Formats: sequence, structure tokens, C-alpha cells
Amino acid sequence: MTGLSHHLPALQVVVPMLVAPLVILLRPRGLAWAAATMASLLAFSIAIALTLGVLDGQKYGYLMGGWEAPYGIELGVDAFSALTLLVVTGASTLALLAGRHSIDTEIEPDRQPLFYAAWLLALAGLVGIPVSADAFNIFVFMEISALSSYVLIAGGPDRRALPAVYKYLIMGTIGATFYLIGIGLIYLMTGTLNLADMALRIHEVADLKPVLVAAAFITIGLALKAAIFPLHAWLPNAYTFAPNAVTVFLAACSIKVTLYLLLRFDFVVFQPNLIGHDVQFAYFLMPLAVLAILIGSGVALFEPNLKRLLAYSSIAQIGYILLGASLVSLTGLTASILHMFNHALAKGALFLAVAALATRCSGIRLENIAGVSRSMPWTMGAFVVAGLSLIGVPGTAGFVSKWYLISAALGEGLLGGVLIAVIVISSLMAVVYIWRVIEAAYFSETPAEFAPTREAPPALLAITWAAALANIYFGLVTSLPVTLSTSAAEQLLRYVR
Amino acid sequence: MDKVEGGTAPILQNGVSDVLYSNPLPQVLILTAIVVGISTTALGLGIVVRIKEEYGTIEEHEIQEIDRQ
Repeated sequence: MTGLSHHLPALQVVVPMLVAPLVILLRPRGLAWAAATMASLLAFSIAIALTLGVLDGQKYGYLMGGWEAPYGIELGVDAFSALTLLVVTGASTLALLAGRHSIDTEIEPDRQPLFYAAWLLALAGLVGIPVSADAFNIFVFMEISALSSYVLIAGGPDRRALPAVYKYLIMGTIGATFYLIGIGLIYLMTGTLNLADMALRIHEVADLKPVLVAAAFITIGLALKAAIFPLHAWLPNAYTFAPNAVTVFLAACSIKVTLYLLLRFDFVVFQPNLIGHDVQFAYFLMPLAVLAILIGSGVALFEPNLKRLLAYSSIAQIGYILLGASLVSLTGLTASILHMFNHALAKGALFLAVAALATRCSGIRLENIAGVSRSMPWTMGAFVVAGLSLIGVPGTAGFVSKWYLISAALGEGLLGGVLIAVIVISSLMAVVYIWRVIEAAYFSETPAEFAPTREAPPALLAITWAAALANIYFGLVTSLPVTLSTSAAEQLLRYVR
Repeated sequence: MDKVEGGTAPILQNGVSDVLYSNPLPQVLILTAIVVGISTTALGLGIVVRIKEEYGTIEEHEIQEIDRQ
């Protein structure tokens, strides 16, 4: 490993973080967008290079400032972080490429440079979490991404975003503080902040109360930030009232990063060491996952606002990811990590299609899009393709992860039967709520007063279709995400007896 | 955890090896956490100001009332 490729883990964070202040200076119209998009594209290519390296069997470790781990801050990239990096940088790049028109209509021109700067900071924070191997460093990145996400969500023209983002800020801060308390307790017990070092040293103190308390604080804190049912109250409004491009970006990846961290902590740091860990993780999170799946899908059935419908569906999908992980088996964990990737693809494409609808329709409630397929057939086409992937129809990406999830449940006997029933019921509900959108768009009369007359802007439409086709591509050619998820799951389970 | 009785600042010096020093890490962590806390509070108050501008009130039930209309 020589030259530039050695520095890739650091560059992954440094590129968006350094371009962010530069973007503020770029006043002329469009320049800020171009710079932010270039930085995001560069971050995406770094993530691809890292993924290829990981697939090649390369190990990435980076000592910041040359201080040896565990004294200095260590960065590291393995299969799990590479997959998360791909999702984050991919979502940011697609949302920026597609979102220029949508951002132009929602953010005033003189505030746009600041908006793009906040976007890049959010990106830097979100890629920082998977890259970092230091628990406190992760906390700082978590707060960088959270603070800039609040700014992004509150940036839109809809004033209802403000109370929503305030709620998100309070809950997000409680979550991060819980995480920090947990880190403090572990540091007190083990004397280290390096995750790998922590996993080794925690053996000696595993049966002491502070470690149990730390596990509880970290799990609950991250559950709050990951919107795990019943701690999801901030999510629907925050996603609904955010600017459309921001919803595409954050809905696809911000939750995934927190789930990544939760799995990393619960499997690598706590899993092998805690007495009664299965009580703390599996028995605790599995019922929550089942409730999230059923209630998230159930609420989505009755939701007339398209963005909120998809937000509740996200809560159900978070349930799937947790369900796979709570089985604590190789197939289950593979399914769960695979679903992080596939759900990001499906939800990203769906929110892109909604952003496209929003550019031409008077609103994004079901009554606003009545009969819209006549004037915007391509946008609705992409919505249907991505919707099929969300449902999990064979041939789409969503099917692959549900297949893995069901085969993981099959190995669990009676409990597995119940879980399969839950997955099937929730998929049927997904059919219904996607169908409600299709019914409104294809089979309703167009109300004369607000009929959109044109297709969405070409750039937005092209990216939406690219995302929709990616759902089909990864449904048929599954090797990349499956290889990464399997090796990520193997790494996570290496300590489990 | 951090303060060592009679301990001094943890500075490396040539030729001096057995110095009793305090652990600097907890201070660094707390300072960073304070900075994070200040920025979160500032942003939260900024959002409150924006809510007041848009809604003319910062009473939660009044905001809910306005949104329901």
C-alpha cells in the first residue's frame, strides 16, 4: 500500500470538510452547487476505490498525525464501513446531481452557498462515522452530521419544518449525550477509546455494572438517533417538511450510519463479553423490530402525504434491518446489512421521484397527484419500479434482502415462522400503500385547476431513473452488495461464541 | 480518573522520565463535549428565533393550533 491509496480513509473525510468553507465564498449562481457536487463526486470515487480495495483483501488503517493506536485516533475501513460509505456518498452525489432545480426553487439564491456548505459538513460527518475507529471521534462526527442536518432540514420554505427540526434537535441531542455517557463509562472501565482495543480489554471488566450501564446508554442513545420504534417520533415530520433534495440525501443514509454504529458497538464491543448479552440485544430489540415493521407499515397505509407515507415506511424498514441483526446469525446479519444497502437504493429512488413530482405538482398529497401519470409518465414509471423494489418483488434489490431475511428466519424454528408471517404481512401492507399512490396517479381523474403540464426537469428525471434502474441491476447482479455484507457479517460475528 | 495527586502537566521532556502527571484525555473530552453542547444550544436557540419569526409565538400548543388550520 503506497502513495495516495494509503491516505484514502483520511481523504474520505477531509475532502468534503475542506470544500465546505470554500463553498461559502462561491457567490455566483451555480458555482456553489458545482463545487459541492464535485466534492461529493470525489468522495464517492474515494468510497468506490476503498470498496474495491476491501474486495481485493486490502486492509486500511490510518494513524492520524502519526500517533500510534490506541493513543492516537485511528481510522480504518473494512467491508462494513466500505458498504456504508458507498451508501452515504452515493446518496449525497445523486441528490446533489438531481437536486439543483429543486434546491433553486426551495432555497433563496443568497443562502444557497451556506446551504451547500451545511450539506458538505453533513456529508463529512456521515462518512466520518464509518471511517473512524475511535469512539469519541465518532461522537464528534455524529454531532457534526447532526447539527448540519438540522440546518439542512430547517432550510426549506415550509415553516412546519421548524418545530419538526426542534424536536429532532432535542431528541438527537439526548441520543448523542446518552452515547457520550456510555463512552465515558467504558473509558473509565477500560482506559481506551479505540474500538478494537475496547473489545479486547472489556473482557476483564465485562461482569461489572458500569459496562452493562454503558451498553444500555449506548444502545438507547443510538436507538433514539436511528429512529428505532418507539423512539421514532422525530422522523416523520423532519423528513416530510425538509427540502426535497435533503429528504433524498438524509432518508437514504443518515439512519443507516447510526444503525452501522449500533451494530458495530453491540457486536464488536459488547457482544462477546457481556453476560446475558442476548437479553440486552436480541430479546430487547426483536420485539421492537417486529412492532416497528407492523406499526410503520400500518401507519403508512392511511397516510395521505407522500413524503410522510415514505417516512413511515422507512420506520418499518429500520425494523427489518434490526430484525435480521437480532437473530444473531450469519444469514440474519448478512440480510440486515444487505437491507441497509438495498433500502437506501429503493428509498432514495422513491424520494427522488417524489422530488420530481413536487417540481410540477401543487403539492405532494395523494389528491395533488391525481392523474399525474398522463403528464409525467416517466416520473411515475420510476416511482413504480422503486416501489416494486420496496415491496420486494423478485428481480429487484428489495427482493434479495427479504430473501436473505426469510432464509435467516427459517433457521429459527417456531419463532422464525412468526417472523416470516410478520415479514409477509408487512410486505402486503407495502403493496397496499404503494398501490394507493399508483391508483391516485394512474386511475384518478385529473382535477382541472392544478394539472401539471410538463415532465420533471431532465436532470432530475435522468437521476431518478438511474436510481430506479440501479434497483433492478442490484436485484439481478447481487454479487457486490452480497459479498460486502457477508464479509461484514463475518467480521461482526468473529467474537460471538 | 484524571487528576493525580501532586501530578503535573503531561509534557514530554528530554532526559526527564519518571514524572508524575495527570491524564489529559478526560479534560480534552470534556472540553470537546462543552463545545458541542454550546453549538447545539446556539443552533437550538436559533431555531426558536426562526419559529418566533414564522409563527409569532413559541408556545407549543399555539404552534400546533396554527399548523392545524
